[in-house]
Amino acid sequence: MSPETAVARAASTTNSNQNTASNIEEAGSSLAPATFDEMFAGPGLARPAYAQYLEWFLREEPARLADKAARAEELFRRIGITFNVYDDSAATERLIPFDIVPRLLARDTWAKLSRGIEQRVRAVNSFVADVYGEQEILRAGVVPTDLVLNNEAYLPQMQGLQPPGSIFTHITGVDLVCTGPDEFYVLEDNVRTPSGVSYMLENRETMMQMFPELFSSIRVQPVTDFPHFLRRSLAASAPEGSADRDGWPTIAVLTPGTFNSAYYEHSFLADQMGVELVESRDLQVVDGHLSMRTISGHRPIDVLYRRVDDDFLDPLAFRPDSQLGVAGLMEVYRAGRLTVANAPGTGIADDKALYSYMPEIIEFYTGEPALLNNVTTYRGSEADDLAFMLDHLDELVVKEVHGSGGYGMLVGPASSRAELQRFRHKLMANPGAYIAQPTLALSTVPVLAESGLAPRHVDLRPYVLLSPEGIHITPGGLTRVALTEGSLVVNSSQGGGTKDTWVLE
Amino acid sequence: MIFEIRHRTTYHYNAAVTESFAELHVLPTDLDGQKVLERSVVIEPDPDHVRQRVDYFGNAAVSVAIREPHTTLSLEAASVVDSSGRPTEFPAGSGDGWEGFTADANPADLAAVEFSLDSPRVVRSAELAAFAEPSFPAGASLEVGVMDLCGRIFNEFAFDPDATEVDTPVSEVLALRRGVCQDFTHLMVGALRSIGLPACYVSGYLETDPPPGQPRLTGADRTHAWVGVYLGGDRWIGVDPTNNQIAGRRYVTTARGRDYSEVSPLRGVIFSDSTRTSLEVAVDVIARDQGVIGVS
Repeated sequence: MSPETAVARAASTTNSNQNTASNIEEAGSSLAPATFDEMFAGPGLARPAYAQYLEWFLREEPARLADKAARAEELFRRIGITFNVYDDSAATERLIPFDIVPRLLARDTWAKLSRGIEQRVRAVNSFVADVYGEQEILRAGVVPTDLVLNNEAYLPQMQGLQPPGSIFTHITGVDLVCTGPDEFYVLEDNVRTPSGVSYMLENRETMMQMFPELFSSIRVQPVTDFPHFLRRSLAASAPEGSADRDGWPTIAVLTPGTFNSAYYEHSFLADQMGVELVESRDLQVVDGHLSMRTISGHRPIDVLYRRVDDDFLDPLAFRPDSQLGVAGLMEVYRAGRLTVANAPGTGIADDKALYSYMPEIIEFYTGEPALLNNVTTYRGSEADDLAFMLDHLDELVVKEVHGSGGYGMLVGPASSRAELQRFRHKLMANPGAYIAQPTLALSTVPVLAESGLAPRHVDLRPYVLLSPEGIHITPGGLTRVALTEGSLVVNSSQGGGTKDTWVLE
Repeated sequence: MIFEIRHRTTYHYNAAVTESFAELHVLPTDLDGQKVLERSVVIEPDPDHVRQRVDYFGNAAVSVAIREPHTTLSLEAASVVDSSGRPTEFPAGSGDGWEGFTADANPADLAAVEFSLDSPRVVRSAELAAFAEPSFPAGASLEVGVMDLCGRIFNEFAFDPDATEVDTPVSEVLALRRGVCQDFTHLMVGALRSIGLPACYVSGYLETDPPPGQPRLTGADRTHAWVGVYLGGDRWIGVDPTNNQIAGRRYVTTARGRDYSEVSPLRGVIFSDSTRTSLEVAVDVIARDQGVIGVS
């Protein structure tokens, strides 16, 4: 069935579906012309990638869909997939809302996008390797030296360290937004300890349980093999000679513990990979190796997939008050007897102050222009940029250079006069701590709201694995959706939800 | 001159330590024109792991892990160093205007940039820049400016071991006008950096026995600290604000870093129920063929 007939069908549906049909029209028509809706090309007119899905959707009883949505939520609650919100005393554990309408990406769109992602991720790794090695990019004057060397994310303790295959960023979560057909911008390269991959996996699992018929009619590229690829990629990054004990190097996932917001994910990934989940108290440096205490004695670890921040990894090298790391870990790492994924100090590459140099960084290491767009960025540290920011505060998104999770940011167009004024004072008090970007016309994908399909803004975080063996990009990734109408903030800590992401075969 | 140096550190704990990890910066290396002829470190109890490496700043760093329960930990570093190659005066060219030595004037020299930025313990400030400025009028030579600043710290600040703690911030030292070698070094490094000049923190030893008829040099009871001023092209000159002189041949460099936090002689983590730790440090700097001239 073509998209046009879908409209005709929608228009002639029975009472029970009328609600849905009228909301499809709304979804297509109520948007500002600048907003790109990924499902609808016009009122009731599905784009080709969604044609088959929409046809199915319109045949479904709204009541059945609502029931499925409720069951999906119940499923998530039962699995216990929750996250903690910092600074929220009312509820320490929350469920991330899940929307049952998938986000679809055409095969060609994805092919093009993944080429850009590969280029970017490889360049980011080269940049980190260079910063902690020869520093050629600084000598060449491509990136201001003080921006790197005077950066909180820069760790002199990493200087001269050569991890296997020169891989520093084993796992990257690239945050992308779409603004038009095949138009993608990178918002952030998460190369510290990107989280959320468990949601991607659980979302797919849930969709397959809820709607098995959809997966037999629409061919979707798999993501559920991610833990397998993660394990392979980590194993391939192990120090030389560590694979000979039982054919596999020993891998462990280091978590700060059950109070960490992403603890669920840590235990989930360890479980899925079939490796140990360890905490600080399980680890010790023995005979020059990082070892975990087991009932049969100390067992050396070759690869540590750590979900503990740099500062806390080793009280000897970093924060002396850390109870989450292992004293002597960095020494074992330096001696080449351990791979730490991701390497400490990789945060230098996803620092917001350095973000604006990404096109130059990519060109410097790959010799080619960047394939993915970078958002124009104004730096509070520069007088001209600051003046522009102060003049256009109501049009800009202002972020803290070192913030994360959407805290401490200002979305100019969505802020009140008073909020703008408050932020203006913060900005003037410490301009170097902020950067600003124009608001992008983020694409929308409909969600299933009470009244039917309603457009909501989305972003996309594909997960990328890099090892001496090569690169693996999950087809799709985690789609986060701003569930509040018109909102541009998709962070789960700020009321965002998620969707399953389908890359079509 | 050839010095034999012994640096012994002993910790006593009132309960057993089951594990101890440490990183030591106690072995001199071939920096600042000096030549190390011999060096070794002896640790008791016997460590589970010892490894020596060259750290980012070019210093010898020793990592130690001890897994034998102990109530006393002793570390003795011994070295023989020939200091005769250490520079005793500013090299030719430092008579040029100081502005030519700033990071801004040498953006392609990464060391110039790195050592002029903030570091964990030394943060640039307007106060520090204001303190440095009288010594650096426009066009003044680097040498004259640096030695003037060094002299002002020596004359205007009192040596007072009771005035400050190991972590007293530079801003407080500036207000107190007193402190020890570590404070004066941080102060001078911060003042230089605040006007854009690259400088480092140097830890090491100073021969302390006074020549006949001259006053005893202060601040050399244990290890000593002074300022390294960067001259470009990987050249440094040592300047000691505690004694108002160039850190010449009576000095031995152990390590150099952006500030004390990167070169402290011993940094460690212990696992223990011990509630009280006592520390003894003994340093001997002995000039060969001249008998014992410095014992503390």
